[in-house]
Amino acid sequence: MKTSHVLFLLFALVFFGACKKDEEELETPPSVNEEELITTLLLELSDGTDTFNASFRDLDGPGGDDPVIESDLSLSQNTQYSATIQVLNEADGAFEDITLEVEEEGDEHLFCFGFDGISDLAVTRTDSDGIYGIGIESDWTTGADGSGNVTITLKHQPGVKDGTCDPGDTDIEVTFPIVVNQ
Amino acid sequence: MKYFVLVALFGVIFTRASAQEGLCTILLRGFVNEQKTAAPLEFAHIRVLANGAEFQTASNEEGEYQLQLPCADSIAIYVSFLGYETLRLKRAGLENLYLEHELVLSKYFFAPVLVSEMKSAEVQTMERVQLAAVSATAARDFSAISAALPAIRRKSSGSNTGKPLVRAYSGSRLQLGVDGVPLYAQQWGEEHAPELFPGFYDELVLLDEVSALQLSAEGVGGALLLKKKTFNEDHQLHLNFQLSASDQDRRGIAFLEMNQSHERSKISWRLQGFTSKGGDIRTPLGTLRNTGSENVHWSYDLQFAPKKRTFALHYAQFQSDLGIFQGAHIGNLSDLNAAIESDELRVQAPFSYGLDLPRQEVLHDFLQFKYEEHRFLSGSLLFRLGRQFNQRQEFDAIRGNTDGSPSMELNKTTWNSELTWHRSEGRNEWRIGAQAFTTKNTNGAIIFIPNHREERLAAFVQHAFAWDKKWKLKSILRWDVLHRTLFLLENDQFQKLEQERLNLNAAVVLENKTSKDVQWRLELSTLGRVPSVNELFASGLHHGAAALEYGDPDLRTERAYKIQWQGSKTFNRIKVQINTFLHRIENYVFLDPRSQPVLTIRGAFPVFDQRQTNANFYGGEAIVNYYLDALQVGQSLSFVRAEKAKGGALPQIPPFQHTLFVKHERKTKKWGLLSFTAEHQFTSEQHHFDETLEVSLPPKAVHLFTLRASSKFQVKKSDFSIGFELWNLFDVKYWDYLNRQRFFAPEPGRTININLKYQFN
Repeated sequence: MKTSHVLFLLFALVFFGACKKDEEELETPPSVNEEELITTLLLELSDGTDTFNASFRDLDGPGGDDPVIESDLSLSQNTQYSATIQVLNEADGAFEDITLEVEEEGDEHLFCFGFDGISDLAVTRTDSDGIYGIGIESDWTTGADGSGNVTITLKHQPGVKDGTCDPGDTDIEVTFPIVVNQ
Repeated sequence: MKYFVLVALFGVIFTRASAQEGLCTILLRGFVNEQKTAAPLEFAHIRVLANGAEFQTASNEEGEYQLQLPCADSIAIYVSFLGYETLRLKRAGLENLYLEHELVLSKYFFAPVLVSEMKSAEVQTMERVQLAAVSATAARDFSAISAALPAIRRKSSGSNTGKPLVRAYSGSRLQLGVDGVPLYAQQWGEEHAPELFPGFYDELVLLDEVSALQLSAEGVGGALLLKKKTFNEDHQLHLNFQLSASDQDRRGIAFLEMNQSHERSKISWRLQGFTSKGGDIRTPLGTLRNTGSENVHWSYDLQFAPKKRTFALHYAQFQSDLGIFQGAHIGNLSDLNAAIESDELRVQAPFSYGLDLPRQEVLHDFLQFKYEEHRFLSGSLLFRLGRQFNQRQEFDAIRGNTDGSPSMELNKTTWNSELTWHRSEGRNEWRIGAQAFTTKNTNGAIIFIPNHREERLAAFVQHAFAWDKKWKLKSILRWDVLHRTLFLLENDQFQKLEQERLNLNAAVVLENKTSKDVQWRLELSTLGRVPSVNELFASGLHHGAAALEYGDPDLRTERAYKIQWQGSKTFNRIKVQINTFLHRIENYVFLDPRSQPVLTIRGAFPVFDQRQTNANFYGGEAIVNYYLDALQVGQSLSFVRAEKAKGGALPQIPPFQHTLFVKHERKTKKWGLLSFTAEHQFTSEQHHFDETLEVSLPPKAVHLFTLRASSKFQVKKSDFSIGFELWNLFDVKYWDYLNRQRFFAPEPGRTININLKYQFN
């Protein structure tokens, strides 16, 4: 066989080989190591008598349908409330409580609370990772009446947590309307 | 099946093997010029060994020479001139040859040029950089070396990754090649650097349009080729060893090269190894936590060159592990805005060599076999067969990941083959070839872009015609057929989607050498680029840019129409080179922002869609060098403008840049050849931009100053050199518009580089 025949066969081999091989690999789903999807944040405030709730649900994740936001945070002035946050994955009918992982990795997580339009409201984290608070549990103390928005942010701060909200990246950021009545 | 029909057609061409014998003499013609000034060298000595006989001549006042030689499978050519390095080369002596030789002053031969020096002191041409001189000191990355040419800038994505940007083009619009083979790395985004260590290669060339099209049709913006080092003909063992250090990230670099040619066995070999380790990068605002990197790169070459044939094997492996600045890892638009508005780094930390999360690992294998038959159908035949494997893994600080597995992994395997017939006769030169590629791209973690397979077949006809000594016309016609199979995961089931694209591409280059001092070149071309898979199917959050990006499966092929003109003129001691270009790209793919952000549980994100528009690109570059004995004054400038045809600037277009340097050299008995350089570089603010396409406003203009000193000396058969550089002399705090993540951190501050080199011949 002449050299040129051999070279031609080798040239074409690249194509013919590719037609048959690797189909299985291309049709095999990868071993997923994706960060858990968080679809839902639930906030509950209680003064021992009354309970107030707010929720943010985006069941199909980023994009797609708009999220559903519900809030009845209508509080009283000069009152202390115990607040609890729960984060869930409710995608495709599932119910996965991500709060447990946040608590377990408390030294990497921090809930932060920001208020817009309402100034006389103080939040104190009541849980701890051993050094700093986490914010799953907190006390909210209202002062004078007013209305505005509260933004709850979950910061992921692996290796950089220092008790402040600056370091790390944001896992959750949701905003609810809030009213403090006279 | 249509590909196989085409393959078969090409097979008919190549299987008509009938070697024609009988050519008893050939004409060797050549041109010898001085590399620095491009001036012709009169009385250069040309010595040729053919069939055991020796032939000699000298160049005339125009630097030209010619010799009548007997046909020989291999001829050795030596070109020498007093005070210059002797040039040695080997060619097949079976047909007429025309060669151009650039002689380099011997005192410059071992110049320890540092990477950032390339932009000025080494800029002698518009289109090529000699990498032998930079060797291991070129340790930062491929893009830093490429930026030695005025048409090229460094486009970065963060502090420690960069890629070359030719005029306005990077990513999949810029084709990178190694020794005639396109480099197939991940092309799923704009963010990542090519997997190359340039010190392993001989020369970096910005190809003209005809040569670029022979390499690939995908590089609608241009093509960069790394040429492999040739083997020495003296049959001695050659050893190069180099150590470099930088205080900026406390980086250490080591490079070793060995090569030898054996006369009897006709076997030549080369072994190269490189390693570097650096820690966190220092900026005027502080240390960038987790920006260190570790690199290992090695390669071997084996060549067997009996009569009439050459077999060559090349293998290279590149491994890199690099940290990603933790302050650049953001969650949403609020984080991004906070970073843009902040005057401080988001994360402050002391220096460390440690690589923490998030980080990235890259592996690239490059294996090529090349066979050349020097006597085939009155010409020669080239065959290539190769495989490349590219793996990119990203490790994120994600909640619940305790086993250390990557959160993203892309694997890309490419096989390539080529058959090209070449014939040069009289004033005509022909190349007819076919190339085949198959690529498999799979996801090892989450499905970032769909798994896919591609088969590509290309055929080209290239012709060059030299009317006389002044005029030369080169042209190429190339067809590309792409068949792509995508595996889209829907409801846990893979759905196949097939795509097919046919492209016809062409280029013409007209060259003129009016006189020994005046030359120009006109290039016309049209090329088509099939949109990449990420442009078609991206769907999700881009963390670095805090944006949601969506592809469009219906994107059409980008079509470029290009005109370029390049000229040079030498006035006694001054050499001026100018390049201008005008490009129009139809169906240009770009990220178009939506008017409303999307609200997610992570906050609000801007949304971008991949869309197409017609766009115009124009601009130019210039180099002026003035030589006065031991003093050299040089400057270069570049200007690019890119606009949508309906109005509006395109993003990430390089702003105007001007570089001026003064270099003084003198020979001393004690310190050998001493060299001192002072440089100023001005980069203007980019005033021509569209706010809706920019994440943040372009940064202010910046002036950077650099000082360099070096010494080179020779002891018996060994050469030593020591180099010192003080870059960003005044520790200027500045931000680079071409750094897509510039809002997280400024560019590095004052940097000291030291370089030691030893070469045994």
